[in-house]
Amino acid sequence: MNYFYIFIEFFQTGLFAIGGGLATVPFVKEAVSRQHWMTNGEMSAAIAAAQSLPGPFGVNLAVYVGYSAGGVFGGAVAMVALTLPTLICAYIVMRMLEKWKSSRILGDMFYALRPCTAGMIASVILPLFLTQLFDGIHIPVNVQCAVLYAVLVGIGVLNEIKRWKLPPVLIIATGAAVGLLFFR
Amino acid sequence: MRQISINKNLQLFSTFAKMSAVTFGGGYAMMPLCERELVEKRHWCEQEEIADFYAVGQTTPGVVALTVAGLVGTRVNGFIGACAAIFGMSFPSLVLVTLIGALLTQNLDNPFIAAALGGTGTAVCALLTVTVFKLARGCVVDMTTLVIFSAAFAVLMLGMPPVWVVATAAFFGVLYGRKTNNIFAKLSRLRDKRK
Repeated sequence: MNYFYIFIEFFQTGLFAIGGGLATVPFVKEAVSRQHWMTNGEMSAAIAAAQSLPGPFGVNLAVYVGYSAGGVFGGAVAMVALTLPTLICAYIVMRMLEKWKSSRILGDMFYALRPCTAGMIASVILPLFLTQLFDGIHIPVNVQCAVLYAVLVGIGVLNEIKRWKLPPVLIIATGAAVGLLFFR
Repeated sequence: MRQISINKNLQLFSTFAKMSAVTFGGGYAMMPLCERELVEKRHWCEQEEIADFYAVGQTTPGVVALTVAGLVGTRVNGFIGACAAIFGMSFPSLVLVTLIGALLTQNLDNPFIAAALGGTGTAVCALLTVTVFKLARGCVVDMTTLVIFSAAFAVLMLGMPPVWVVATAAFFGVLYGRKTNNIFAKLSRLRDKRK
């Protein structure tokens, strides 16, 4: 019966949380307190862990909460329930996009949507970067972070211009290595 | 024929699983990898379409990364393709969270883990910055798009929910196109048609 509740709660979350993974947090919080799956402190820890692991944040959080509510199988149920609404919606939207691919309305829409998405991503980076720059425990951390950022942006831009085709994973791994060496 | 479609599903699963397993920082952090894997390696979609998919992801239910996977999967191999892509995107999460989720929770204040995560976060910021420049170069083509870009950035920083921002932009695009017989939208449409 527990699995049934896990399924229902995360299906709801997947259906009503519109936007990025962070949009799922209020829904998951509500579900957790309604079903008494975790304490508030555990919930905060779950959010932190979900953010520190690779993969989409929303899926990580769902699996984490599902796991603590119903073990390995609970985590799997939570994952499937969260992804089902997205699967159906994405399928329908893609079919519609293909159908009206060359329609005028769609062209006009994406003319405005593309710069909007670019602005959206810029608005995701800035707070992320500022937290890293200023939430350091001691001052040198900030400088190291700024230098690493500048160097990596430089490499990224050169990568584009010179067509080096460096894999993005390499940049991320470099970041982790530099962090491990110099961010303590 | 059947062989080909099974191969495609495997490709979808493995491509998205790989992207998911190596990206720290959620759906947006995956964008540079999307460009590399989906556009350059697999040729499943065009550079500009990635931005479109993310815009769709902001306005439809569920996590953005999953929506992008579902859209690409549908294009490559229909409904089964969407299942393969979405399952690929979420499978590494299932494994990793189940295996080390609890362990990580107890060790989040470990200085080594915190330092490595800090460096990763900075690298993700740098990658995304380059992506924004790349995106903007393709789509900020005139004064109107520059205004849309800055306005979207500003209202999102002020805390407006993304779904409303995207919906407003789409609505504005349609109205504006109607009124002005938008030449840039027409051009990009022609380009899409030619492909």
